[in-house]
Amino acid sequence: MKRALVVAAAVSALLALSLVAAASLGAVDLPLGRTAAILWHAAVGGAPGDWPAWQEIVLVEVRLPRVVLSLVAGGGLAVAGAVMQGLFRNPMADPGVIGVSGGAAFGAVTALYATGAAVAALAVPIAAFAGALGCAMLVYALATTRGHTPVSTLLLAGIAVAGIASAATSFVLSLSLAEWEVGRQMLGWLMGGLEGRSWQHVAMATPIVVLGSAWLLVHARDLDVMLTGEESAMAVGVDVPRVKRTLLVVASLVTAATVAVMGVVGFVGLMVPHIVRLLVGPDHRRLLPISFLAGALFLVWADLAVRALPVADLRLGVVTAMTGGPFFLYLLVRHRQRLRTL
Amino acid sequence: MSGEPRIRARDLRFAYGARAVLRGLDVEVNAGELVAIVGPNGAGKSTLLRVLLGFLAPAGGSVEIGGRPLVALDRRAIARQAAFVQQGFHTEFAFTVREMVAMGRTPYLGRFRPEGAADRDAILQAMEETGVLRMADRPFTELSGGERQRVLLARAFAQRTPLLLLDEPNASLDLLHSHELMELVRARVDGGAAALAALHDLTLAARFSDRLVVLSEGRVHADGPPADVLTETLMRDVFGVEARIVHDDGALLLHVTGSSG
Repeated sequence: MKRALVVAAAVSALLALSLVAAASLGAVDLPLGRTAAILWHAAVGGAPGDWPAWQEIVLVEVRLPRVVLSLVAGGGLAVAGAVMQGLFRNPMADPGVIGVSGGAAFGAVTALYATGAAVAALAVPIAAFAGALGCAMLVYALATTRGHTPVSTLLLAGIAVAGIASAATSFVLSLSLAEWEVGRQMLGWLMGGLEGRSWQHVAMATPIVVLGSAWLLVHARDLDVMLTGEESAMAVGVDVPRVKRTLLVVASLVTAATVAVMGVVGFVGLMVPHIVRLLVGPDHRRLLPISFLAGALFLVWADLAVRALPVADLRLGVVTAMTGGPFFLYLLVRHRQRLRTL
Repeated sequence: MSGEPRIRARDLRFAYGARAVLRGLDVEVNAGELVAIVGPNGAGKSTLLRVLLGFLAPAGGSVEIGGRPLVALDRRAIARQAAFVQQGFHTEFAFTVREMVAMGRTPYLGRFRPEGAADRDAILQAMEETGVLRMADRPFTELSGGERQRVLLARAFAQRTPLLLLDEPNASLDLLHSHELMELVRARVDGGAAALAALHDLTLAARFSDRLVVLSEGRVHADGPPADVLTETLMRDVFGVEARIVHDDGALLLHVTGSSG
């Protein structure tokens, strides 16, 4: 428990520093001290300092929503991933495992195709959200017979539905390639990114992610017991079918909310909970909150890399996979013995 | 006969699809009684335990736990009446021994209520009773089979239920660990609990239980004290083996001489 508190405190401190750092860096770098002063002024009020007005606008209207959104989405994806791995008792499960990501991609691409490049700002996230939930519910319905939802059937149905959604996405994409701008936007969305996100996007995703994560945390004890098997969980009084159903729905909602606002960003939900488990063990009362913080930290830095690295058109999903992948492999090789028993 | 019935099933029936597994059987376990369910593979021992716990819905008949009908109890209420120890339990997640045993308190904890003094007391006592206290901080995944089974028994003890159900708890244990496990269950029963254990080892069942319930093809073939129930005829009819049964100063010796073809 002590170790968990130390880890939580360290990650929180890093996250707070990273938020200021991420806000201060960009096309125009603002000094850290000034960034902190402007943020303080925007949050708390009081007399404005001697900074030019455009700096406050850049910071509060352009960078801050993006940084906040990366925090919320990273945290949500990591928590949803930890919950999916627990529910499926499978370390390879991630938030996309029941078709959420595939459905979101299909929804977004269809919205872009239907409305063209001049799409209304929120049409894509709304379509993505609908696609994500639609696929998740379809997978769940397909895998359920007489109130029972076996984990293996759920995984197989998820793989099949995600495969179909992916093919449908490719089809719509190929229909659109003649129109260069539409195709470019679709590809951009499929690789994930937070370019041009506003407070509107933050307002869309945050309530679902925060309330959903809190709700999942409330069920931490049930999740712990479910890790030891479904009969074992029933034997100590967990209503397994109900808990499984509601946790799946809420984890899917959280994932859908994040995918809707930033596109498909892999590796956060798979990798972050594993790292946290290595640090604090499998108990969900520690795992879920620390995963939220660590996922937030990871995505804030990944998006900072997207903005600050001198690479044109670097995509968020590319950064998370290219940094997260090797790091994950490093952990895998180093802890081969321990990961096997996690 | 001892105290009041802790669990009672009447005319219990269960089928997997068209295949009838339990064909109308009566079982009763009283306080202070250790009852062993024995029978050949496929006789319905594990299924019976799962129907008694409400994991599987019966096709007919009734179950009462602690004097109340099973159908009127929710999962938490059942878990306060009956604890369950499975065989061949497996988890890939590295909970510590203490965390595993603490899970036994789940039916008493609310979502926002942390473990209280009574819970910590129950956890500690269960770990002491089963001798796993010294390994409290070790990961469950690194224990031997015998140690794991003790931890699972400790989890069940921490539930502080009047009734224990065990499904071949010593299926993967050697002689010494099997006996130690049964001694722990026996001690619990002598302290006033009731226990119903599916066992495949007849000698062990005869040695530790007050009564044997012999299942055959989904029915109760015999029910009574081991010395009365285990006969050479029964060995032939139910288990399909020729055996000699030797009564040796209160203990039963089973000498199987061959299959009865």
